Amino acid sequence: MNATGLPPAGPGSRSIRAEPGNPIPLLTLQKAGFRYRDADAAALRDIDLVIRPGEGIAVLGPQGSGTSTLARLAAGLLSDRGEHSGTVNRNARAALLGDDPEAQLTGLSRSAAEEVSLPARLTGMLRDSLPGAVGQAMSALSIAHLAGRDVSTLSGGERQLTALAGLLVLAPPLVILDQPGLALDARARAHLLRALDAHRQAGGAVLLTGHQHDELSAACDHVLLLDRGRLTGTGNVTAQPALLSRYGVWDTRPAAGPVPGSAHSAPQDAPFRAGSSSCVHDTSRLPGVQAPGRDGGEEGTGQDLLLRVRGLRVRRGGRTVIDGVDLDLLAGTTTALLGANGSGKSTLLAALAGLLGPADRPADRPADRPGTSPEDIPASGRRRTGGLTRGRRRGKRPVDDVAGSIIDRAGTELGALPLHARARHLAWVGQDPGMQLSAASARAELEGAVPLARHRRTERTRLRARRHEQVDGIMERLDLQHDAATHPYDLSPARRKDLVIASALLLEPAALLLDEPTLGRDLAGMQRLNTLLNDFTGAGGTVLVATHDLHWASSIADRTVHLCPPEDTTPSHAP
Amino acid sequence: MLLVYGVASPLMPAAVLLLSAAAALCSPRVRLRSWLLGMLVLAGPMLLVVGVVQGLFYPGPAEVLWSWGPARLTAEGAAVAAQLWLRVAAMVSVCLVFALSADAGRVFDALIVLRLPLGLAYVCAAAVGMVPRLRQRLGDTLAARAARGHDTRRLGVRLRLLGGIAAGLLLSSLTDLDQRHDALVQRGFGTARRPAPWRRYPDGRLQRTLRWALPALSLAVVAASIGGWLPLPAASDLIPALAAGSEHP
Repeated sequence: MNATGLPPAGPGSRSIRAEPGNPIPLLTLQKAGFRYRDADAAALRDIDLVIRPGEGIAVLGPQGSGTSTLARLAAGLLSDRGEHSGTVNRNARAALLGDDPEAQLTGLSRSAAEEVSLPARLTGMLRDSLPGAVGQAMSALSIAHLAGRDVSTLSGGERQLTALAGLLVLAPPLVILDQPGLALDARARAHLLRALDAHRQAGGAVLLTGHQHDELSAACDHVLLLDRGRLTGTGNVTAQPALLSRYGVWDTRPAAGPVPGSAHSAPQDAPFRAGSSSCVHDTSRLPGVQAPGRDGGEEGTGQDLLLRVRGLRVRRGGRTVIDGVDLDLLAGTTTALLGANGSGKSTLLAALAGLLGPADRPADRPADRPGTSPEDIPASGRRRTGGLTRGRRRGKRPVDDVAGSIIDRAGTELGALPLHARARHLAWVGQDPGMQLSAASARAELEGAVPLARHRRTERTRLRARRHEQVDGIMERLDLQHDAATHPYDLSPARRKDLVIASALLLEPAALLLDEPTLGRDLAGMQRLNTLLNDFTGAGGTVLVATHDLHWASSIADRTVHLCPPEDTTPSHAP
Repeated sequence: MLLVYGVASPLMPAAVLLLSAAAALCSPRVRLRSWLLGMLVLAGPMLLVVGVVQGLFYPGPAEVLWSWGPARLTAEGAAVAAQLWLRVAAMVSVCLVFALSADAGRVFDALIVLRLPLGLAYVCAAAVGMVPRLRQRLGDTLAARAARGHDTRRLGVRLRLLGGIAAGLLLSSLTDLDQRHDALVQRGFGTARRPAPWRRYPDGRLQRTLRWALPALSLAVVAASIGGWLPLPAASDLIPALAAGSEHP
């Protein structure tokens, strides 16, 4: 062991060396290093790496270890971003798919098929050959059904696969993927795995980087570990999960061991409760979960019912995304919302938070009155955006249409409240944290995130001092004190998400709605998240979390709810 | 631009403004509210500035129509203000109709077909694509603030949040540009000088005729105006006439 507690970094453990008789490497890094402009320390140092045709190599490490920088260095995207050292030889074209689905699209296409065709068109493919090439690339990733969809309506995972299909049209010998499995469901990951296998069998190679070990990295020939910019170790990580923990890498595979920081064992199966045509499958570890009662509590559990959702229905862009979902959230519990890419998980959370309709709803309607039956609501409690009547009459773009009932513990119909008033009950943390941040520093973001309660001018100083204390406390809980002066955009995606969660906690809500909070988190980030959720539910709150991380969901959640697309009404078991 | 600046009369920019308003009203892809909002934001401040500076404080000798203290509404000042504003407003309105109705992919394809350089085609298409993207992001950002308890329906709240939101939009737009650049480099941008269009856009006889006839007609109108064969009234003729008309109905 060295001073860092890591195994000694011997030559054999740091590189895959060229051997006589091996085919010409597609990529060779010799003592390669990189330092970003204006950075004090190098992001990468002394990297020796050789990738040959047919190989699959995964490089994993914690946040800040340099995995994304390595991916960009290998793809040749850092030429004017800083100072290089050592040598990087690319003997073939390399294509990189980054970790942010938003950043992978070009903005020059309307439909998914058009986006997939763009690289082929840009490189001179004739128009007549396009349909075949596009169809083949999309079929390889099983996304042919998305061909005609507007790219702006695609989910994060669907965007990621669309971008990858576009890159695969070019058939680059070396495919570099930075955290490719983040936004993908299990089925999409399996399709991606098959596509990458086929690519390798056809003579291509794959370099995969990330902070999480999943089915994709497990299928690679070699898994290398990166620590503070150096390749410091390797080994059979599948057989030695402890090695991953030691390097701060989160293992997402369902077969992995218990989750650090989680107090739960795996949830028990509960009888399937079909609440709707939206195919909600409910797996619960709660004792005796039955049909919800109307007395503010869940029959047979003795736990407070904090939120009751009935008949939630959402139409977006003329398409039914959610068709009649029923859901109960109990005090002190975490509910994991699972489902395939595009099944409507994010839409469900946004609809609950009130983000899919206008904020100015009429106040006096039956839905506002406590104890109103959900059956009374659809006609009056229906909300539409953008002036539906005009939109329909003039044939303009279809608008959102949300119907259903969302009732809190006191019997208030939250669906009737304007968005800003609903925030005190349901605090939403979206998938893209950048959208929820606007201040110049992390502390300023939290100080101004939530408006102060109505007050007299003379009370302002006292309220601000109290807010200051609250922010101090929350920053300490989330270990954000050291980043207080940092611009939110300079934080890593996981830390940005922490900041947004912190702003949600300032609302002191009864329920937290989290959309994919595990994206891009390393082991330390996962532990931080688990501790936070356990504290929140321990204090009597409830959490509804949309995630593709089944391992984490099975460990943290008291209940898992599986959401299927409305077209798919075939019952299936929750994973 | 040729028409609104080539013809001296304010009737020409006014006609262009009216035509683009009609297009915004009738187009299935343009929301009239967005167009009006765009006009208010982009052309509204100029109306205020020229109205005050030229309309009320025109420096030279002029026919005074109304005065109050140091402010005096003059026919010449009002004519200059109307001419300036109408020209800018006409250009802004046409650009808005185009930006709100066009789709970045189609603009890119069309400019390539028109043999514009690849880089220029990308810049134009990216600019067109930025309009709906900024609108979407602004809506999302406001919704995100409302989801933290800010009542963004109130103008006062929006104004208070404006600084942070504008800074966030600017920063995210710059980040977007950087990311888009990388995404295009990854997709082989620049490899082919003339990429194939995604689909063939059928060009009917009327459309083809209009494409050449409209520029030719514009040139002819401008030439006629310069040559004095197009007797359209100037702003300085219209304002006193309008003022006299209002005094003697």
